[in-house]
Amino acid sequence: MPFPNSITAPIQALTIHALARLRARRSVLRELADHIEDRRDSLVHEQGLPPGEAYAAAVRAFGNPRAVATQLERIRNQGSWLDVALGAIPSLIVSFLFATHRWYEREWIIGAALLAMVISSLGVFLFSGRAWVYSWLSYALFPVLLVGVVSLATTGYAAWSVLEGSHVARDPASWVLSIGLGLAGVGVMITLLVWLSKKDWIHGMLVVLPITLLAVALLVFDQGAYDTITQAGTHNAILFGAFAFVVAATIRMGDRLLKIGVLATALPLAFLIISNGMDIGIRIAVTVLVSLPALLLIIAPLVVSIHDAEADERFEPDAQRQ
Amino acid sequence: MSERELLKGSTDPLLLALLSERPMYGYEILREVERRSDGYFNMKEGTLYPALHRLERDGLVEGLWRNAPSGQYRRYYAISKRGLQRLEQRRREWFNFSRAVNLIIADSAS
Repeated sequence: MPFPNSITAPIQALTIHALARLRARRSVLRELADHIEDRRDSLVHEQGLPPGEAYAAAVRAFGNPRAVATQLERIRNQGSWLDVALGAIPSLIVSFLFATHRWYEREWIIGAALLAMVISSLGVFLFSGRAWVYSWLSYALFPVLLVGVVSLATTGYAAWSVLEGSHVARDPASWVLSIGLGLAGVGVMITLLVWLSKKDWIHGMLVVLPITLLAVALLVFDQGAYDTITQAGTHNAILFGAFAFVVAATIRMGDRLLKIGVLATALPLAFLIISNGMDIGIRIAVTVLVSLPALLLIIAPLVVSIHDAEADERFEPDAQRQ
Repeated sequence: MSERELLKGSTDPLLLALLSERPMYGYEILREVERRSDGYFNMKEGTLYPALHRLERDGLVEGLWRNAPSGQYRRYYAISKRGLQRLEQRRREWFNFSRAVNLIIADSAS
């Protein structure tokens, strides 16, 4: 049975708006508009054409600007093979750690986290526009988020103990430290994700997804869903190995809609791998957790498009001026 | 092979060669290609911009907004270190290829 128009019409309108924003790369539009302007000026000054006629001739000479803009959008969205390889490496390293059962050895974990921090820091400063940087950044930020969440959780537990009148084995300095660490860790994550979503929300999702998967994997393990530690390692090795291919495909694809499709599909698939053997309560919790990034996938471009709509309007008439 | 097909296969080295001399913006490149080839090459925008953006994506050129001598703000393209290496490689390929073709065509003509 088809959905009534009252439901589909607003969704369609929002989707069209979001897609329009995704295609409206102002830099590209501006460049193409400048080109037409340059040709118009040449025709006016070198051939003596009136400005209106010169503009029409410049537009005609350009061909189909929409086709050119679409082609450019695809090229700009598509990562090179080097980007693809670099983007897949961090997830493959995590997969390797799980597969070789080194994921519970402190030196390996610290080494991998440090590697992710160094490469993502270099990447942010030297190649900030490249998608692969965000794949590394995600694993670099996971310890930051973990420290933040654990600090806040232990602070909450300690505060609860105080309220209940239980014994509190904490001095004032540790209270300040744990609250500070907690707020700093979570604050850094939120600030970064808001910034990334505004800049390019697909990059934002490349940061969010691995963090979510790692958090879920640890949560599931903590809940005792696996019979043996080897089983947990194998399970997660497959999960992160598959995720490396998802990242690679996302970086290589030129079409943003396909990227959205791949990222959104990755979530339920990852959940299917993770949730095997879990009880129903955990499955619901995991579903909610895994659904959050999917929800962001849908909401973020709309938020960005609404935020930037005014700026686009300011520019677009400029591109069509005579 | 038509002239258009010949140009299509030569677009990247032509652009890299021009940009190895100095940074240029899109329209300037089109004019320069036309002028330097005595009007033989009439490169279209639909060929130029995708090629420039592809070269940028692959790290062979760098795009940068800056003021043109006219005072207008334009997106300039400058060749990168990797771009220079690629140009050198394409130059060698082109010289070897054209020399071999010339040897055969010239021989057959004489």
